[in-house]
Amino acid sequence: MSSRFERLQKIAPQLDRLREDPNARVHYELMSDSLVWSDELPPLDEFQASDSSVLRGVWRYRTSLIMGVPEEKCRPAWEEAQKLFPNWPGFLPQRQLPSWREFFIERQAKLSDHWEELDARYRRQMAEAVAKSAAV
Amino acid sequence: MKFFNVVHNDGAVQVRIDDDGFATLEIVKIEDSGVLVRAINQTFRAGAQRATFFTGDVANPKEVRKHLMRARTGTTWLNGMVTHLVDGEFGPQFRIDWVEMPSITE
Repeated sequence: MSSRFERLQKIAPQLDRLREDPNARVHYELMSDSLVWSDELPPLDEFQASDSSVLRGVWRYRTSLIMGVPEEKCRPAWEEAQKLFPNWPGFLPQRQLPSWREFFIERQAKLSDHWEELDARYRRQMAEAVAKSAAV
Repeated sequence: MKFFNVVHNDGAVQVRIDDDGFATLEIVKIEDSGVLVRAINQTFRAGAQRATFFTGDVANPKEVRKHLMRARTGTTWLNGMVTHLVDGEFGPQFRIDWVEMPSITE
């Protein structure tokens, strides 16, 4: 696999061209355990999922700043990203404020519960299907 | 070969289905469980018989704990076998293999 720097470098031109959307939505993203704004990635048909995964470290670090406990393992990704695509809306100071903490905690808990329920729901669905076929 | 993006609210999953009916799903963002349910169902409807779902680096400690436990004990998730691939820079990477493509009630 390419190094972190190479992976960030690959997506840098696209991310540096992005501009803040005044109507951007913020949400909790499960895999990075972070807050992510809707204007922080280019359109889906212009990049690959595997290319964007390096941003999880950048998003995670920003969220750790919001929470007041910087996650050191993600700091290098954050610092390299700042050098490579400084104009990315993800670096806006207002997206690093502690005032997001409560929102993060609330959304994290909500999605965690829904995600946990997904497998249980699937198992119930399968059990019902088995019971139904046995009854026929 | 088919390639499509599944978008739900602000979440997204990229799907590729090979000619032999094998699908690969990769996460862009998970903002609710609906995006994965839709991705699985659309992949099923598009003709995939088997699939592998790649998580990429999982930086969420709670998800990591659960997937590591499943990988160690052979416990399935959505009827798929969980394998711990490698430890990425931001967290472990997993793959979930479905020998038979599931379909989930939406």
